[in-house]
Amino acid sequence: MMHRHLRNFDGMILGCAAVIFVIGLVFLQSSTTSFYGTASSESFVMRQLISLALGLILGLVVFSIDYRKLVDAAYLLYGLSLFILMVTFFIGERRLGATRWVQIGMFSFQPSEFVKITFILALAAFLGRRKEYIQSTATIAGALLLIGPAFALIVIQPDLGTALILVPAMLAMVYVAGVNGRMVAALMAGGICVSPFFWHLLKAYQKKRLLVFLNPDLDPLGAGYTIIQSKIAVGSGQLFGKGWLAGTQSQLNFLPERHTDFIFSVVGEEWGFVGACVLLALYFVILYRGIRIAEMNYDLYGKVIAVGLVSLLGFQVIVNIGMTIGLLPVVGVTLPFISYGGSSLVVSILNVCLLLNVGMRRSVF
Amino acid sequence: MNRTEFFFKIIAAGFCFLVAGLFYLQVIRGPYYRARSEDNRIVVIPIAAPRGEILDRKGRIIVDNRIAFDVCVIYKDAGDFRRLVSFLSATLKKDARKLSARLEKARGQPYTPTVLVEDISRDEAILLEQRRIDYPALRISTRPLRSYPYKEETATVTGYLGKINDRELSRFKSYGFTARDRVGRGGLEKQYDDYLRGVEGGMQVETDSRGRQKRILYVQPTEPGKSLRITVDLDLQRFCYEAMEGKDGVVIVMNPATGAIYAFVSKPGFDPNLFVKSGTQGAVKGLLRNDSRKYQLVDRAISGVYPPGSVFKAVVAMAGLETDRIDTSLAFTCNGVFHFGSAVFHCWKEGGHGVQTLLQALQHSCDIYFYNAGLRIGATAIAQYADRFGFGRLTGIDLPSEGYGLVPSPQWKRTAKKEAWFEGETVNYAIGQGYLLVTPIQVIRMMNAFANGGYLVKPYFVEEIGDVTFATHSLKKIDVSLKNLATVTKGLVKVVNEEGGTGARARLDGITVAGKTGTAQTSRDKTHGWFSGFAPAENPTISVLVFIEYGGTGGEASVLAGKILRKSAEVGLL
Repeated sequence: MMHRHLRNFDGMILGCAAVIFVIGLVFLQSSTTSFYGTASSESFVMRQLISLALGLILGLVVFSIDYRKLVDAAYLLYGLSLFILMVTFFIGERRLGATRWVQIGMFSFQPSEFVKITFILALAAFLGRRKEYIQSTATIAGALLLIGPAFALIVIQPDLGTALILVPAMLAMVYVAGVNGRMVAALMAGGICVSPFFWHLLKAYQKKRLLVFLNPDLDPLGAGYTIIQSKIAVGSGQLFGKGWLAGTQSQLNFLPERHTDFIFSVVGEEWGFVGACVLLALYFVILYRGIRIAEMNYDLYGKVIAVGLVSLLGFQVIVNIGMTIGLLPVVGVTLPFISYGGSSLVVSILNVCLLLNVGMRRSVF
Repeated sequence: MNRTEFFFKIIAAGFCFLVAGLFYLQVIRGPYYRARSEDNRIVVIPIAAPRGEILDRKGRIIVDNRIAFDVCVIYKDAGDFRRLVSFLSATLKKDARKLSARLEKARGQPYTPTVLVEDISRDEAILLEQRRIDYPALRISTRPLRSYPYKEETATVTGYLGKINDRELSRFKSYGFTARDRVGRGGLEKQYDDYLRGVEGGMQVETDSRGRQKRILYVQPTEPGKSLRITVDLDLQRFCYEAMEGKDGVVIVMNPATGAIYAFVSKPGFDPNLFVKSGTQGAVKGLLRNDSRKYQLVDRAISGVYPPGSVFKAVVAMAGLETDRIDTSLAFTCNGVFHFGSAVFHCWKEGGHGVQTLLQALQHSCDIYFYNAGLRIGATAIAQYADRFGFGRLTGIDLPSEGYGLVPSPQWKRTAKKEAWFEGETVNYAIGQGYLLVTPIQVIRMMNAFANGGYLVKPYFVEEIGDVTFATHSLKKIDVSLKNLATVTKGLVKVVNEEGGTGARARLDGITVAGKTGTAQTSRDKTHGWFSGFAPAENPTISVLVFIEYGGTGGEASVLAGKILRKSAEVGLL
């Protein structure tokens, strides 16, 4: 059984993900060597490797269970992750002004990362069951009802980035499932129209980040500092970069958050335009192969899951790199497989494993 | 078109958008950004804001800031390290190995000045500045440093500063606190930290790759802290500290009507400069860990609780008169001994005082009279009047960590100790012994009530913050009659002014002093000495309290009180 499936295993996706992860380790080393006092870069690399091990174990589980069974349990999984998210709000640990982390033993994890995956499964379950009357307005309403609690919980935490990553995934899945294109367009238009009302719900630092995006010189010592320094870092990398460990912006401590959300700035500075394009190409291959998995699958559940996962990964890359080069506002999204942090890495691995799972067990006539 | 394909085109467009952005930033604008990163490395240099000064009632400086000179080094420019280290260790007489170790730490930030030696003298700073041509890596940086010129003498009032701890830092970071901050840890420095603290400023400086400043991009000006003008008279304060030479305890001088404090000493004290200077970490740890077992950081005037001894008789007398259980004509005979059940209580005077009325008993501080009177009045009424005169409660003084003390009563003993009250305890209670515990500030506040016609005042230090008047005089009428207050005050005048009065040594020429002594038994074989009083008795303008901890008598305390009152007259407060 498994053997038959393995013929359809997409080694290209796994290979690209592995290469991206190794590049991530290399830059984790580079971005943390000049941290002094707190911890050595070896300890950062070590912890990232522990997260890798954890991610691979969980990934293997996700990989070996038929995705259809996962779809059957989707609502349960989604409900469970929402519950943990809600618990986070009460017992979670505050860091940088947001309650996103839960401490379990020596590990702390960020439940909002996991919600991304369970939401994809739940929405796929919903859309798959409505296959016959997908065109009805109730489909859109149902999708909105599904995303509602996750979106609300993640926004109040607050973790604007993760919430915003969920929206395009939902739109893509609904669209690919066959909902009337005009309806999807109307939904997007509606979303853009109501977004100004969300302005009041934002925390002061989030507003500041958005204003600073429009004009970084508004607060050159505070919130704008990161953007200015990040642009200098990436830009100064020029065509071929300054070389690994030789980026003055990162090695002289000018770049804050450079091992987590802003790690791409280090890549851009030290490896230049060429290195950045290689990295983008690697991501692109994964996304391209992911879309092929969606296209080749005649099972609506599998197709929609694959589209959702590709959307998650793709938009995370676009938003993260976009913000480090000043094209998009700073919203706190990690770069998959590269940013330091266990939850982000584990969820990236789960994403790819689920994608491989769907690809391997595709239904062909 | 296939929907999946269309979706993928959106993603692909996003990637093209990124590649275009990167191309613009790194290739087209690349040289510009390269130049900015290479030539103009932006550093933010914080500028410390000076803390507000503390001035005495006449505007004389009690606490201010001096300029500290630090020796910094820019690692990148250091050149021959050994030559630099040997030059510095010879000029500043510092251990060469420690200097090398610190220099090694600067490697992490080769372009920014790193502090090597803190707080060198002005002459050393000038010398180093002259030799900068030979040692281009050297920088002398300056910062304001808290300075307490009168050291221990004013420490009880000023308190001290401490480095901000991690918990406070994470709580208050959004209010502009930084890891460099020092915050008030005691005294006025703590109580008024929000006002004294300034707002740190900063400079955003463009520096070249060798750390030389090219131009200042942005300056956030500092906002200095607000100064405090307090009620203390610096001369009197210093005199009071010196008067306690060789003794531990408390001196408080204040205005009995307004609550303004003129002098405030708790001994043994400490030198607050230790907390801000460098190289004193050992001494500070010793103080914080209380290595000397002397509790130098404890402000005995407000946090120390003691048995008041006979000073308390003024309250017992008021309780008796107010409840009509004694009057001025009632007399008891003192032959030095008082039998109660199987217990024997003694008067402090062997052989006794003979027949004593209330006023005589106050004058001589006769214990036998108060044993008898106490039994008539009862413990509950004594407790009630102790409470009215402010014992067992906070005075509300503007200093941190004030203590409550303890006013015992039969009801208290039932709930707290689950035991019945013994009449024998009432006997002890009447002379201010037993469970009763008071703080020195409560004692002088009680005495103030006799001086000001029966009001409890709130003692305070801060008169003005910046140029704004801050002090609000708070008075609370005590429910006692003026007639009885006058009667007891008459007794308090006799204590100082008549032959055989226990406080005779507080007497002044030409000014009538009223007061009460106390010599309180303690658990050790040494006694506490108390004197609290006020002057002039007819129209009081000043009140005084002297407390000698372990090893003093009321008589010794009244000697000091006399000296302090004379000094108060000299500085124009009496």
